[in-house]
Parts: sequence; C-alpha cells; structure tokens
Amino acid sequence: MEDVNNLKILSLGIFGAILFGLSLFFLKKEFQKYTRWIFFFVLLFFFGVVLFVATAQDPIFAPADWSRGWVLPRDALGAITAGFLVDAQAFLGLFFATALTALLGGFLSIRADTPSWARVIPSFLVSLGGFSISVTALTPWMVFIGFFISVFGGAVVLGAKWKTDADSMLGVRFAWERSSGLFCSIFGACVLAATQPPLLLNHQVAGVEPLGGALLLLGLFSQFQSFPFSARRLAQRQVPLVASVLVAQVLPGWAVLFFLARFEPSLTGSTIVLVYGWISLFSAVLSTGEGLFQSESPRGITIWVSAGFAFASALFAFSGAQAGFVWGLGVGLGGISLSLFAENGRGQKTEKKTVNKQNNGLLVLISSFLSCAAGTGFLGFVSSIGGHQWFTQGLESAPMAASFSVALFCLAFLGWKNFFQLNRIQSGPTVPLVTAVLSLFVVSLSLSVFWDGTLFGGVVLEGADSIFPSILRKIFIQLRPIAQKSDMAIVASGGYFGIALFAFFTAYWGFGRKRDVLSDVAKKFVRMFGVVSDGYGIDRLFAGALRFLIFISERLYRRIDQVFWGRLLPAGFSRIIEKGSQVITVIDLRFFVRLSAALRGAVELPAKALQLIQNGNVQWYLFFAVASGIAVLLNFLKG
Amino acid sequence: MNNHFLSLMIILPLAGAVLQMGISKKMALAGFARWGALISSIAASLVGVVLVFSMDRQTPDLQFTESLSWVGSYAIHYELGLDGLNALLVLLVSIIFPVLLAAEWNQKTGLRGMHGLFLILQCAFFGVAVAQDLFLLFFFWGLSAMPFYFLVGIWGGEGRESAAFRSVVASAIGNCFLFAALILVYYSADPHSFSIRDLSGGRFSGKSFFFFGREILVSSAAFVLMSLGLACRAPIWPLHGWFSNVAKEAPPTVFISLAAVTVPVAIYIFVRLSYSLFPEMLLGTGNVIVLVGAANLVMGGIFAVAQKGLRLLLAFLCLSGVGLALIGVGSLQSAGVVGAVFHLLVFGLGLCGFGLFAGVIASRSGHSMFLKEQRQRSFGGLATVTPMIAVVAGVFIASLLGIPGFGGFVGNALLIIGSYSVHPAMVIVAGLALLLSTYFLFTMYRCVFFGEPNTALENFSDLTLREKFYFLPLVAGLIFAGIYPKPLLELVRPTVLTLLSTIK
Repeated sequence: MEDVNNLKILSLGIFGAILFGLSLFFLKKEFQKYTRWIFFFVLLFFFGVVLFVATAQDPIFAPADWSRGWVLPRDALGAITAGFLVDAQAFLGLFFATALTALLGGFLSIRADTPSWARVIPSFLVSLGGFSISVTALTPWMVFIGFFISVFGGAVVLGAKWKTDADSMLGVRFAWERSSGLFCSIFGACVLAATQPPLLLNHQVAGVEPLGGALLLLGLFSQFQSFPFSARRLAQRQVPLVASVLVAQVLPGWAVLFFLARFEPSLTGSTIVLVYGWISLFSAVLSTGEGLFQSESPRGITIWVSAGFAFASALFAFSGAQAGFVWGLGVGLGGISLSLFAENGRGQKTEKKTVNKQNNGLLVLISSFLSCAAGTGFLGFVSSIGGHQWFTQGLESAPMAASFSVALFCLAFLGWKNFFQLNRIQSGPTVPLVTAVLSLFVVSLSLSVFWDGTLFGGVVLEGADSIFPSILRKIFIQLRPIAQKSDMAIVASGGYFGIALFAFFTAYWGFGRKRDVLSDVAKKFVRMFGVVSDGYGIDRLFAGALRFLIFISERLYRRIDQVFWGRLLPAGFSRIIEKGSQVITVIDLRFFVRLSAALRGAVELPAKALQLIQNGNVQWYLFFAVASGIAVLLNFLKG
Repeated sequence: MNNHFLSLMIILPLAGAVLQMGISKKMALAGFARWGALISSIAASLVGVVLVFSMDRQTPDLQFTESLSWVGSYAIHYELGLDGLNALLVLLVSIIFPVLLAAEWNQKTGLRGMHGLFLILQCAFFGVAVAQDLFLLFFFWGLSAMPFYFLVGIWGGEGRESAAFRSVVASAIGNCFLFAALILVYYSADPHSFSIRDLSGGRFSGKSFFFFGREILVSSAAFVLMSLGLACRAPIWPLHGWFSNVAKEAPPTVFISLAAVTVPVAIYIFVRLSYSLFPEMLLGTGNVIVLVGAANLVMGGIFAVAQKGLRLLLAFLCLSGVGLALIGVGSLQSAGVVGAVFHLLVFGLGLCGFGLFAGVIASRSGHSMFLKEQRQRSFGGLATVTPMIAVVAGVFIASLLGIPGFGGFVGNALLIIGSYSVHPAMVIVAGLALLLSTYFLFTMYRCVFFGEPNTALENFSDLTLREKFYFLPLVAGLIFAGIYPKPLLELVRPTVLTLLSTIK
C-alpha cells in the first residue's frame, strides 16, 4: 500500500513538472524573466520527489508497481492498462535525466544569447516529464504518452522561432515524423493487446505476434531519426544545438532503450528482433555515410548521434538490452558534450579567420576527444562494454563479425571526423570556460568507472580493474551478464579496439590534416555525393510521393466529387426528370387526343340517332314506330 | 417504470422552439430569444447528462423506460429507454447543442428561427436516441431531416438553395428506404409490432416473401433497405456527394450538427437495428460492413489530402470517421463494438470542435481556406497572435488523430484491438489511412498557426470569453474521455456483451 502511495506521489511529481512546463509557455512577456527561477524550482521539487520516493521504498530502490485498467477492466480481452513501475533502472533514469536537464537548462538560461529561451527552457521541463513517464511506465501505453509529450517538447525546441517558415516547418516535420512512428508503435501494441491482455512490461508476453512486434519496434526505431529519416535537419542555426540534441535525440533515444530493456524478455529469441537488429545496423551505416559528407559539423554531430542510437539498438538485438543501453549512454553523453562546442559556431564554415587565444582550445580539444571516444566505444568508456560484448559474440559468425566491423568503423570514422572538423577550424567565437568545463563534466559521466566500477569496463583485465560496485549489474540484474569470458577474448579485444583505432587514424588522414580528403573527393563527384549528403534522396523521394498523392487525391476529388457528384449526377438527375416529364406529357397528350376521339366516336352515333328522333320530322317517328312494332312482333313469333 | 424523465428531456427543447415563435421581435432584440433557447437546451441537456450518469452500469437492460400506447390499432407505442448503446449518444447531443446555440449567439439574421430549428433538431436527436419503437424512431429521424433544409437554405452561402435541395432529396430517399424496411418488418412479425424489444432476437429468421416470383428473405430485404436508407444520410462513400456540397455552403454550426450528430446517430440506428433485429444478417455481412468501412476510411483520407479549406477537410474527416466506426461494428467483437460506440461520442465531439474552430477562423477572416489555389498559405503565424485558438485546435486535432490522453485514442485503440483478430488486412488498411490523416492535419496546423505571419491578419483576435465558454465542454469532454474513460465504457460494455452473446 505504501509503495502504491509512493508511486502516486511520483506520478503527481511528473505530471506537475509537465504542467509547470506547459504553463511557462503561456507566461506573459513581463513575467518571462521569472522563467528560469520557476524552471529551477520545479526541477528541485521534482528531484526531491524522486529522492523521497526512492528512499521511502523498503528496502531502498526496491521495485514497486501499480496498474489498473485504463480502457476496459485490467484483465479483459482488449484492455488497455495504465501503470507505473519503479525500480533501480527507473530511479537511475530519473536522477540522471533530471540532473542533465538541470545542468543544460541552467547553462542555456544563464547565457544571454540563447535564442527563444523562454520557449526552449520550458520545453526542457516538458521533455523531462515525458521521459520520466516513459521510464517509469509499466505498460507500453504509458510509454507512448511519455513519448508524445517528449515529441511535443522536441517540436517546440526545434520550432522555437515559430515566426519563420523554416523553423516552423522543421518543428512540425519533426513532430509529424515522430508521431507517425509512434502511431505505428501504438498500432503494434494494439495488435499485441488483442491477443494477450494485459500488456505489462514486468510480465513476459508469450509468443509475440509478428506484425504487432514488428510495428512496435518500427515505431520505436523511428524515434532515433536514423536512416531513412534524417537527423541533419535537427541542427538548425536558430536553435542551440545542445538543446535539440538533448530534447529531440538523447532523451527520446534513452527512453526507447529503457523500453527495449524492459520489453527484452518478451522479444528474446524472436525472429523480429534479429531482423530489427540488421535493419538498425544497415540504417546506422547509411546514416554515417550521410554524416560524412556534411560540410557543417552540427549536422555531422546530429547524424552521428542518430546513427549511434541505431547502432545501440542493433546491439540490443544481437547482444541484449544491457549492451545496447551502455552504448546508448556513451553516444548520448558524447553527443551532448560535443554539441556544446558546435553551438558556439566552431566547425562551421566561415570566412572569419581570427585565432583567439582565450578560446580554451586545449580544454575543447580534450573534451571533444573524450566525447568522440565515448560515443565510439573507446577503451575506458561505458559504451566499450556493449561494443566489446557484441564483437566477442560476433566472432562466432563471420558475416556478423564483418558487419559489425564495418558498422563500428563507419560510426567511429564519422565521430572522429566530427572531432577533427570541430577542432581544425579555429575561426569560431570564443568558447567560454563554463562551456568547456560543462562538456568535460558531461562526458566524464560516460566513463566506465562511473557505471561499472571498473577502469576499462572489465574488457581487458577481466574484472581485475574493478574499483566500485557496478551500477549496471544492479539495474540489469535479471538480464545477461556483461562480459562473457571467452577463449577468443584477446582476439576480440584486439580486433575491436583495432577497428576503433583504425577509424581514428583514417579520420586523421582524411580530416585531421590541412587537407580534407573526403571533401576533395566529394567535389569531384558532386552529383553522387550530393545525393548521399542529402540523405540518399529520401527527402526528394518522399516529397515526390507526397506530390503524387496530392495530385492523385486532387484529381480523384475533382473527378468523383466535383464533376461526378457535383455536376454530372445532379445534371443527369434533373435531365432525367425533365425529359421524363416531357415524355410523359407527350404521351399523356396523345393518349388524351385518342381517348377524346374514341369517346367522340362512341358517343356521336347514338347522339345522331337521338338527334334524328328528336328533330320533329314525322316520317322518322313513323319509321321508328313501324320498326319497333316489327321487332315486338318478331319477338313474340319466336315463342 | 414510467418516470417521464426521458420525455422531459425530449420535450424541453421542443418547448424552447415553440417559445421562439411566441417571442416578438422587440423581445428578441432584448435577448429573450437567445437566452430562452439556451436555457431550454441546457435544461434538456442537464436532464440527459444526469440520466446517463445515474444509470446502473451493471445491467444491460433498458433503464428509465416509458411506454404508452400511441396508435393502438397499429400497435404503435410511445416507448423510450436508455441503455449502454444509446447513453453516449444522449451525452453527445447534450453537449453539442448548447454549444452550437452559444456559437450562434450573435446571429443577426433570423435568430429566433435558427435557434428554434436547432432546438427542434435537439428534440429530434434525443428522440431518435432513446426511442424503442420503430415507428417512433422513424418519426424523430424524419423530423430531424427537415430543419436542415431551412438551416442550409436560409443561412447558407451562395449555393445554399442547391445544397439545401440536395440535402433534403438525400434525406427523403434515405427515409423512404428506411420506412420500407420498417414496414416490411412490421408486417412480417406476428402479431404485428413496431416495438424493438418485441421484434428482437431473430423473429424473422426463415420468413420470406415473394417478389416477382422470387422468394426473398424478410430479414435480408429489410436489412438491405435499412442499410441503404442510413447510408444515404450517414453518409457512406460513394453516396456522400450531397454531404460535401452541404459542407461548402452550410453555416459551420449547421454542418457540425450534420457531421457530428446526424452521422453518429445514423450509425447508432444501424447498430441498434442490425444487432437487435437482424443478427443473422449481421453475422453474414460482417465482412462487407468492414470492407465498406475501410473504403470510407481510405477515400476520406485521400480526398482530405486534396482539400484546401477547413470545411471540406472536416467533411472528409467525417467520412473517414464513419469508416472507422463501421470497421468496429462489423468486427462483431466486444472491444470493436464498444470502441465503435465510444468512437461515436469522441469523434462527434472532436468534429464539433474542429468545425467550431473552422467557424472561428472564418468569422475573423471571412473564409476558412488554409491554402490558396497554388497551395500557398492563406494564414500563417496565428499561434503567436491567437495562442488560445492554437491550443484549442491542437486538442481537437490530437483527439481526431488518436494521441494517447485524448478521447480519440481510446476509441481508435479499441477499434483496432477488437477488429484486428478478425479482419487483419482491413485493419492494416485502416492504419495506413490513419497515418495519412496525420499528414494532412499536421500540414493544416502548420499552415494556419506557424511560419511567417500574414500581415493582413495582424488584427486577428484570440478567443473571446463566449468562445472560451463554448469550447470548454468540448475540450474538457475529450480530455475526460481520454484520461478516464472507465465510467463511459462501463455503461456501454454490458449492453454490447449481451447483444453479442445473443448473436453468437
């Protein structure tokens, strides 16, 4: 009972944060100066609620869940259930996301040059609320609510300058793409619920219906914005890059990975998951291809983050939730950290060539290096645990090892390309110390020692480097163990880190020196690389499909609705009625004439006879008298 | 038990309409007409809402029943009752008509006439919803057709005469078919009866008649006639031509009462009669009903993409919504049918809200075209000028799309859950059509509210207090139905389960 009350308090806290975030959008201009205070107050309050609920559990962080029928009774066929589940995993997500939101929101709110901060900062709260619902949800339906709230927050951030066409288009397109994906997921969940109610995330669904599972995963995958979607649009000059990376990419990406981690027991062994893994891997590789040809590093970073999350979901499919989750952590934190610099204008092509001694170049270099390392599974970062685990497993199958190697190389190559691109151009404005320190702090959270308690993630020293107890083992206690000791461990480690290093040096060769090799190649094959950098023409294909759809629907509407129903049919009806009445009138007239003639004919003869009788001529009277006498006589003679 | 509350609910708006005739022009100018209309409408609605929420949710039986002999020699009864199938419809009518009257508060031409006709419509729709006698049901259904002719013909746009004429012709044809079906049913029952309760349970199974030497089953002939009759008024594609014409010409409130009330009521009649009177036909034609529903959904979606105006967009949204409801009805699964009945309520509220939003835009700009001929925007940037309109429109669109937390989600999810197991292909088609609707609704929203502000619309005002007042019940209703649908679903479920158990 106490657990249930705690859950209710937590849910109130989450919805309170969302409502406060929403109400901040409607603050009048004179009150907008209080936005940042309200923001911090709400975050503090929310953090307090989470802390209270976590410590009130007996024992501390103990799992608790609560559910009830939302649509139809809880156990009825077709029921949709609402519920919350808090466990170590959920608390970790809540604490971590709240802290990050506070840090980055605070950073943006104290910066005077943050554009549209009165909309950006509240949307942080809304997104945090959405994320919190997703990670504490017991049912997929609650997860979807969380996602939709996050999508709303993301759309507001991306379209924060609603007054420009480009921004509004960006925000709405983002909302549309993500919502369409979520509708797919909802559809999939409905299909699953049709066969096995209630759909709870702490209960294994036996025999996942293929179509339902596929649609569910497809919708979730779309939240990463990896190929065939494109994340390059998320890097909009008008919006602080770190805001769009956090709200539109990292928080939704983590929420998806949390959901997958909870749903994993139901999906294990299913063919859908393997297909999903291959699709994710393929998508990650194609996305990195697109990212490599971006001339501006903010776009490269957003694409890299998306590809990283797609890679994480491939890891999830092949090596389990924990592998995917840790990779996602590294990518998310690395992406946030790197985006802090890109928003300062570094890495963007500009004519200005001013070398500023006070731009904290060394710190930026170190921090951005660590960020890329975190996002590409370098030794010592939490992401390396997942990557290494998969590589070890993959060695048992040549196609898998080859695919993984290619994907890892591409991802790492793009990451390092971003790093070199960011640091090669010394032309941006000054990077404040606070930005560099914040970036360093964020990326330090992705060190394996923080999550696994080991210096190198237990990858090379097989646990001998353990310093603290592992948080990962606590939150993934029911799932697969992290490192699977294998005879091939040395080969795996060598191969895995060899690929990572190879990617680094290749990127250095390509971008780290004065000459940008890839750019030179791209200039020679403008058309081909233009298509790749433009997301493989998917946008154009999509726009063409939409134009075709509009064309078809307009034609159909004109032909069927306007011409047939609007003109031809009414005209036809009135013509039928008109002609019909004319024909009937003619028939009626002719009939009347003939009837009159017949009547006249029938009446005229007796009338003539009567007229003759009555004309007063005696001979006719005599004739009728004699004739009548003869007739009477003949009648009697018969008898 | 005759407690006459249902009669009171029906008579109050009629009394209000009669009152409108007695009010002089001078008194009307002083506001007596509009207050009189609003009060009588709200009073009737209050009775309806109180009745619905005081229903026993455990029983599938009719409640608050009234039964009086009307024309004894023909076994025609004044028989009313409320159960899970019609309770949500009563709620829908209760919410929408006061809102429509409030929306026409400042009508300058023929205020008394317009309010009187709206009140007659409210009376008629309450009557159709609760009537348990076929003749009485037809009486109210017929009554509901005539006011539209005047409302469109007098207060409509430039092509109002044609639109009004088409509307009345479609209604007349539909009513003829329906009446023929009812007469067939009446004479086939032994003893003759119009009472739905007496006629239910497959009373016509195996009964037939000869037509030009061919033996025809009574139930199949009556079912086909009834379906055709209702399809003319629902409207079902391809019988929807008159509907889109009325959408263009009718005042927004009139079209709302057509799309958001008449259409759900027509679907309700189909559900009520087919489940009660023609269960074997329903079992046989479930696939056809689902197919028609999917066709409606797809065609509605495709036509909607081509639209540049809010009114026609509303018309084709309505066409799609009808399709979704039919998929649920034809599924013959409890979740599907419950979802269809629930969908009628939330879909009606959503359409009403969307229509009023179109009306609000039209009243300020003189038109409701969000795209010009070459698909360039007519509006733009309204979110910063009129944030309340943007929020309210957002709620209606979210519900129509079925975003979790809004009423539409509950209906859509139940429909999919219920129908997927029996008609997976059709449900997938429906899903694709729903995805299509996300495109055109998002596009419309962007064109109206975001982007470069149109300088001609700088003086565009946000919602007035009166407008907020009438939008409130719709927004609250959709959010309530989305977050806490339990009490409403509990009303519907026992009746649906009982009907399904008798069928199967």
